[in-house]
Amino acid sequence: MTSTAPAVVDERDALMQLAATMTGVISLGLGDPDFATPPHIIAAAKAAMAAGLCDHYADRAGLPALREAIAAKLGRENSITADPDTEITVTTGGQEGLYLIIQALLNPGDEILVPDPRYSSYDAAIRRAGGVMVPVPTDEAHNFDLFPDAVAARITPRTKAILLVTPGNPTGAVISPAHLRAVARLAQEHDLAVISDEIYEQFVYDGAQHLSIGSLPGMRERTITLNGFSKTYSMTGWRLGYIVAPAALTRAIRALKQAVSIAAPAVSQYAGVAAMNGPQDCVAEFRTTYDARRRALMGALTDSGFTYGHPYGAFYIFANTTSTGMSAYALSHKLLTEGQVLIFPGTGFGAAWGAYMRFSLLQPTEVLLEATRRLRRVLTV
Amino acid sequence: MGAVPAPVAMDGSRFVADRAHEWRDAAPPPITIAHTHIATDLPVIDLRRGELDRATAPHIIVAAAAALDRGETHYTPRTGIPALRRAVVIRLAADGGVAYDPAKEVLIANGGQEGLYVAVQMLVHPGDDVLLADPGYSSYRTAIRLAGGNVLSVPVTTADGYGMTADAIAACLTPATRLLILASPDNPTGGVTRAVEMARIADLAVAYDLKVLFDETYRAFVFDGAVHMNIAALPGMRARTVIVGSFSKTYAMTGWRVGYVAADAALLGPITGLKLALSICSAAPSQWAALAAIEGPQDDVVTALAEVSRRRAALLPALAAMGLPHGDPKGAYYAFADIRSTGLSSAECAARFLTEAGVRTLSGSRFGAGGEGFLRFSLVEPVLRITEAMARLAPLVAQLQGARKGHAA
Repeated sequence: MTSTAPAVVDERDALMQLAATMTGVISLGLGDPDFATPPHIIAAAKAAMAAGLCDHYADRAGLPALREAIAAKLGRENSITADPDTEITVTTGGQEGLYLIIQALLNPGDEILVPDPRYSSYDAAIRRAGGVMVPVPTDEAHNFDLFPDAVAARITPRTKAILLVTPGNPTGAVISPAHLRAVARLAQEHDLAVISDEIYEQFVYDGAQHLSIGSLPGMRERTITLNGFSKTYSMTGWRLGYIVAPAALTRAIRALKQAVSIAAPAVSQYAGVAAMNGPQDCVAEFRTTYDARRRALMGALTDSGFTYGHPYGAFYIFANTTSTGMSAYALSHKLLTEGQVLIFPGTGFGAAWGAYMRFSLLQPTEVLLEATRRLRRVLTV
Repeated sequence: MGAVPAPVAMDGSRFVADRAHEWRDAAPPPITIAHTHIATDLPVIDLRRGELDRATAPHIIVAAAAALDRGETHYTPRTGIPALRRAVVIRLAADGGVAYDPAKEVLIANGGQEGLYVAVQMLVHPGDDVLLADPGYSSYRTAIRLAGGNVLSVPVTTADGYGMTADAIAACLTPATRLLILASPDNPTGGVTRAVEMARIADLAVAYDLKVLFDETYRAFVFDGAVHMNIAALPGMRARTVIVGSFSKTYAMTGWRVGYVAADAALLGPITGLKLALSICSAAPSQWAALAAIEGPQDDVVTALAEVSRRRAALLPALAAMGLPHGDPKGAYYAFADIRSTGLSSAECAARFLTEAGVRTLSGSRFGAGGEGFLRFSLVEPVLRITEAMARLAPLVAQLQGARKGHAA
């Protein structure tokens, strides 16, 4: 067995395995929206299945209708011009998209700058390619915004790429437009590729704006934009994402996609066409709902003595547990065993984050508030 | 005049990693060959596809729709829905009594391709030699290369019905050999490894401490009394075998992308780890469809087997009568015909068959160096069309063979 096999058991897995043996657990763990996929998307998938459209391999790069819908969306919402024939690839989920991008981009020894804390699947994909992940610290005091100076200080002759995730997981941070523009200038000065993971783009709050770095001058030729349907349309189970990349990178990504899984499931792709071309009211409803939950949970956490970076986006709050006098893992474990609430400790998002916990907003407000009541009870026992 | 700086490519080519260089400047060859000029008015008969002209059975689609109505639109457990893992274990147990724990020894993948990719990545270290049938399924070559391994080509020939033999493997072994990839029935040849050879191969694997990746994608398609055998069931093999299978071919479900990997927990653990990093879980609607396929009525599979059997009867004797040997394959739905008597290369012969007889076949050279001089015929058209294709090819083949003899004389 190779030593690059990702670790399966970590603190997070230990907690999930423990939670699986318990009843009545409130889970604020996984990033799986509690909403079902909207009915019009399901209806379209069922119609495609009944018409016999889902039986055979779909186009390897993705259904042409889906790639065209994605290109139209990118122009409309992101100010990105992309050719659906040569620059867009449909993937089996955003996770596969990220894996393919890393494989297409990184040689062994290449360095890639990644804001810290970060979604841990990046680590596994980078390690598998033999790349070297260079964490770029962000901090609670600045709402986990990414600072161009912190990026610049870590650029070396081995740096190949910068990975940006905005809005971010686990912090909910949105990189400020001025910082994003400065990072774009750095990428051009040092001729770096930029991976922009925009999977949470629809969920920004308090007047924050999502900006796609691939739309900035001089960035199109070096930016690989990753997005998907899981979060925007509550479609995690369908495994559907997409990559926008310059043509040569797209050729490499498509060939790797063929080697890894041939094509994305046809039924999921027809659902994706309906999601993208259909009414977008569902997305607005999700956004309003997450925002209400976010405000309620922020208030409850503040009342409980927790601090956190202000979450301008996504559906997470990354809260500081220092005031409890416990490590996040000890607190998570105590909260699960004594309060039946599952929350991931920050160590799942980088070794440096042992004093933080990630609360996800993927439960109704009353459940979130019940979770914080249990948290207070556990802390006062 | 000063030197003009070279223009910087705007297509991102300078960012492409070495492992993907071969694809940087040109797309991989598409399955759709450029439409060369056809000198005949005949409608083209296309015998290239890798999937039969079947639809997914209605009860499977009904089950997928019902799952969506129940709200099965979330992530599934990461190794797959438990009922599907249990059903796969029951199926494997029926194939010769090899037992697996559905909790720890089965992984549902986004298609057999994902299963073979993650298995090869975790079984092959950089520098390892890997035994692979030549001709063989080309995605294995890519997966081995991406893992940093070297391919050792094991010849499979018409003499053995394209089945792998222990002698051919033994002749290829090196000190760095760690893995044997054994597909039975195989693509593109239709070869089924004979029971006696399977036992000798298992002995070799034990003696040389090889892992075996056993690909049973075409497990349902065996003919003429041949029986599908799983090498994991042989003595000493369970701990060193990784099984990769698929719902695609058996149930006409290529579009749904569902496959499986089964292995001893110690072997499957790292494979599962990579699968999680690669795709979290497999698509939920597709998994529920696959569950209905494996647990529901199998009539559609029986019907498909009978139809392929009739098509074999239309194809195999006709090829033999033309003097194109095919090894009398016992499995899958392909014939891999030796066309060297025409004096043409695979690519030339495929082009002549298309332009002069309106019959499309796949050049054998895309399945490895051992496939040069061969063409793959897929049984993906009804009997009448296959018969028609053979009738068109017979005079052309005779003419090509005659011209070659005349030239030699």
